[in-house]
Amino acid sequence: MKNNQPENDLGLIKDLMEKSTKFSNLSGIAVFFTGILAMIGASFVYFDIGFSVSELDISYAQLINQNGEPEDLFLKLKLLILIASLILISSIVIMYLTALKKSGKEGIPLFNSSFSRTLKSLFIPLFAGGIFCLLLINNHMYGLVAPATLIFYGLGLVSSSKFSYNELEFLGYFELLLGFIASFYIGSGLLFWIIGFGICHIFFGLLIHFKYDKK
Amino acid sequence: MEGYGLLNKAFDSRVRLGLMSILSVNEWVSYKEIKNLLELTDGNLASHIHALEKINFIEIKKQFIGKKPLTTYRVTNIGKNAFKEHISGLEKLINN
Repeated sequence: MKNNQPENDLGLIKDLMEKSTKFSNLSGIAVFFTGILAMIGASFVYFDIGFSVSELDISYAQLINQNGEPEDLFLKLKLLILIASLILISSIVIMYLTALKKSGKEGIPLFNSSFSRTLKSLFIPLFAGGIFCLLLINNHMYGLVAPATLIFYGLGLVSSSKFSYNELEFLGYFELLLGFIASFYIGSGLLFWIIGFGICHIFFGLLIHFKYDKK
Repeated sequence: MEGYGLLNKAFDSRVRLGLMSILSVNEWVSYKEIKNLLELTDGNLASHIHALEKINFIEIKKQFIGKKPLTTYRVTNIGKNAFKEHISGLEKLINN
């Protein structure tokens, strides 16, 4: 028996315990596409693509500063919430379907304990953040909504990283940082949102894809 | 070297050691899942599973999900204790 055998064995045990309890069915390509989706959606709202031609001529900055007729502002707000909800729902559906496919391929049931722990640790901060954002909207503090989504999303990522990819932790810290910076630039919050939910997901998706999926 | 006394011969093979590592931190785990985690081929794993089952370290559950058969495995209390002892043996060997 070689002298380093016990160390090798303990290393193997630790690796397998960690690998078998972490949720790793996230598809990198799916994350990449949700990033693209977020960028398209947010750009539509921020740059008024498609809306400027309508009679409803309210820009994002106008909404934040509440500079306009209340009904027009309310319409713009509804559009914004509609687009954001569409992005969120389609992103979740894309992630779920690809995770299901990936788990089938690897013979690992999707609904195991690591999956439910990941979901729980991600969605508790997200739900709290969602309710908080609705309260912000209710109080007409629209400018803080985009930074708040980034901050709560960052918290969710950091807590879920313990049960899933380690890289989620760094993504979480970055989203937190973005959220706080965005709080200083109210009115440009959506630009930070495009970075945090768009560009970050595109890079993160590619990282996961090339580091784990392509093996 | 008192650590050697705690080591279990059943875990001499790295496949069996890996198998126990996975089962000790999970509930029922499927054959395919174990195979993928250990990066093994079919025949290789089956014999090791059989060996551990024979000494009552793991138990097997066979069921049907729809029309597909599904075999899952779980570590028994005997297996859990033996594995714990083996790990403490390994740790003692390193510390000595």
